[in-house]
Amino acid sequence: MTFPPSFVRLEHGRHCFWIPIFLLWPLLLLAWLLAGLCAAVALLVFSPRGLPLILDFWGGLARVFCELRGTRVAVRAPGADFDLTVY
Amino acid sequence: MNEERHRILDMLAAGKVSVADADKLLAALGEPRAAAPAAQGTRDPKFLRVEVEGYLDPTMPGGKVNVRVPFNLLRAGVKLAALLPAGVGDQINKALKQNGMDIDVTKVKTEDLEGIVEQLGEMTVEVDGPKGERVRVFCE
Repeated sequence: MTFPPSFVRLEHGRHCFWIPIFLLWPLLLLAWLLAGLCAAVALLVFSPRGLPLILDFWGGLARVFCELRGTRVAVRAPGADFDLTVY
Repeated sequence: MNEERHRILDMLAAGKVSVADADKLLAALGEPRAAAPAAQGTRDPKFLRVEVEGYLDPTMPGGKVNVRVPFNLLRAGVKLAALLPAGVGDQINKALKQNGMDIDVTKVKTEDLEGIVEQLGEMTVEVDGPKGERVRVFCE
């Protein structure tokens, strides 16, 4: 199992920021559960056959978020100078 | 160090051959493979790396772009894309086409991606662009 990203390191010019996104985990989890619950209820009412699909999709969304760990985008150019790394 | 190997390494240092070509030449000589970035013999690459550097465009002189994407993220994204309804896939295809990418995201499958990952694990792609930029795509 891959844990969700904990920190984001952002370098912009000479400044370097460490953003503790692990503090957002409870909030993101709550939002994810609530949104998933609403989607599941809506599907149960309007299209019950789509329920397994939405469960797969919601799990997939969570997995995409977790697998962001290790992503890095660095641009060094006169118009844009930043380095974003997800830990 | 024998002459042939020395000559290949000189050509690599002078930029006359790419790292991948030098590695193939060394392998053909039966020499130990030279260490190179990315996935020389990497069986299970973890990241896809894209590096762009050396712009000579006056609007972006000496610019560098370095992107590292975990392969597990690509796998998860492909699986997610497979669950998208057909209408959404068409809209995504249309948006990609407007930006110059003629790709049908609905036809990308996980097994295709695994095949690409396997091949990319032993390959480095280097392209010299028209504005003097150099693009390298490899795995590590």
